[in-house]
Parts: sequence; C-alpha cells; structure tokens
Amino acid sequence: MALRQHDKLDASALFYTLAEDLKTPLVRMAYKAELVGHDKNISDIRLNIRTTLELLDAYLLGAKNASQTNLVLEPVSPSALAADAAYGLKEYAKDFSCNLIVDVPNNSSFALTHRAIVLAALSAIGKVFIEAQSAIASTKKSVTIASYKTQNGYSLGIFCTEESLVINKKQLERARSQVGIASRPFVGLTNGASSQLFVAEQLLQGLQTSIRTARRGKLSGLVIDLIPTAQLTLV
Amino acid sequence: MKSKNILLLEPDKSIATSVKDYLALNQYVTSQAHTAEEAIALADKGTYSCIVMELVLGAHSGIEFLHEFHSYGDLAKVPVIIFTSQLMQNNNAFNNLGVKEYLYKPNTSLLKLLESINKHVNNS
Repeated sequence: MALRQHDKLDASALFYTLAEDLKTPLVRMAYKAELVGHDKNISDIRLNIRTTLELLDAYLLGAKNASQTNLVLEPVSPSALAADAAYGLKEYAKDFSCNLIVDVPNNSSFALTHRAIVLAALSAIGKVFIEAQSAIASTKKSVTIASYKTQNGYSLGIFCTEESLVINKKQLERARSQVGIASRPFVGLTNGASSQLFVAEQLLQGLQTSIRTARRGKLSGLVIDLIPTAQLTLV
Repeated sequence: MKSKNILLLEPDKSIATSVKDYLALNQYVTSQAHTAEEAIALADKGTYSCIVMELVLGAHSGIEFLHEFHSYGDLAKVPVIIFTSQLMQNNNAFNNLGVKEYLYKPNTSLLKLLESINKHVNNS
C-alpha cells in the first residue's frame, strides 16, 4: 500500500514537471508562428498554442493550490470576474464563430474568493462550452457568462441553450467517476475538452467547492458557487 | 532620435532568435546575451535604450543580475522589462531595480513585447 502511494506521488510530481517544461517549446512555437505571418492558418496555430499554454498554467495553479489549507482569499466582484473571463475568451469565441454574452447584475457586490483560481476555472469551462457549440448546426451559436445572487451567496457560470448543452448533471457525475479510467469521460465532448473541466474541478478543490449544473431562465450550464463578504456588501 | 539598441538577456536560443528577428523588423538592433556574465560584458561596452531579460538564468538568478546591473550608476536609468516564464504572485522583489514592466512569456505575444519596448524607450 505504501509503495502504491509512493508511485502515485511520483506520477503527479512528474506530471507537474512535465507541464512546466512543456511551456517552453510551446512558447518557442508561438513565437516562430508569429514571425511567419498573420494569415488564418497561423492565427489558428497561435490560438491552439495559447489555449494549451493556458490549460497547462491552469493545471499548475490547481496542482500548486489543491493541497493548500491557507489560500489567501480576497473580496472579488463576481460581475468583474465574469467580465474578465469574457475578455479572455473573446478571441477564442470569435475563432469558433460563437457569440459571447455577459449577463451580470448592475449592482456591484463582493464574494470572498481566490481571483486567479476562479478566473482560470471559469475560463476553462467557457472554452468547453464555446468549442461544444461548433458541433451545432445553428447559425446562432452563443454562450452566456453570468453571475447572479443565490440563497447562499453568488453563482458564476457558463450557460447555453438546453439543445446545445453537452453536459448535464448525470453526465457530470458519470465523468467524475471515470476520470483516469476512460479516455473520454465526457462522451459528448470533443477530444481534449474533458481535461479543461477536470482542471477546473482541480482548481476549485483548493477552494473546497466544485462545479455544479444549474439552470438560469431558459439556459442551462455549469456554475461555481462563491461565498459572499458581508462587510463589503454593506460598504 | 532615441537610440533603438536593446540588450536581450535570454538563455533560450530559439526564443532569443525570434525576439531579435521580430525586433529587427521594427528597426531595433538587439544584442543577445545568454548568461548574466555576457549581459554585464555587453552592458559595459554598449549603450542601450532598454533591457529585456529572463529571470530564470543558468548559474545566476535574474534578481542577482538586476542588483549588479543597478549598481552601475550610468546603467541604472535604463528601463528594464522582465520577460519571463516564471509566474510571480508579487513583484515586490523588483522594487527600485529599474523594472518598468513584468511580462509572463506564455501570455505575451511578440507584438505585446514590442509595444512595451516602444512605450518604455519613448518614455525614458
């Protein structure tokens, strides 16, 4: 048993180093591509490299913080986080011809959380939803980034129409039980997209929360729950 | 007219070549150093309008290089752009070392680097 535990630790340490080291060749490729020019093919290559680099960084951030018990939390506006995620996903959505809608309340309130972790998790979920829309025949492909107040605090999430939803509660639970076992735990997702969701889950582990399915009006999606900050809400 | 000489301290030869070639397309002349020692030797001989440097170096840390570089009176005024693959949560270590900007390589295109150089060269 001790040996098995040791093997597992070695594997995660190796993967951490691997993820860190993979960034350098990807940066090299990104710069060579940028030097070549700016046509559509080169832009696609650069976007794919950037997406992979962001996935590696999100993984490394999650791996570093997953076991931390003393994460430094700060008051963050869920609306501002949604806007920041939308800004980061703008180019990605454009590449997939997907309309990005930001739905946030006008009044500004605050939640106590880790900005970088939530932003990385939200962006990862956003990429999965945007990419999933490419499989839909509709000309009106759109993804909504929303933040809203709930009974216990705030929720921040990514939504799409019921018809274009690729992950429901059952699929999410089944995929969680198959991580590391099945090559494609989310059967409805394209290759490579599952890891975005698991990296988002790993990131949120450090905040003792996880992704959950939710509905908002006629839309369905995946959300992250945030804890409100009473003092700052009063201010 | 401002001088357009850049001192690039970058241990990765492929990245250094890409940066140099890109800057050359934009009328900058780049002197490349792959180690802190090479950078100090180049700084001693030439005049630069900006220094672009990686923090993760072979034998030295980039911070050590910055301290040494900053101790040379006439070089202390040259703007420094940190261009690194090291993700830092806080940049307090760079205070008072002439660092004008911190750019994280995986998030930074060559165009963004050029825009930063232009800004600091023109403001210096």
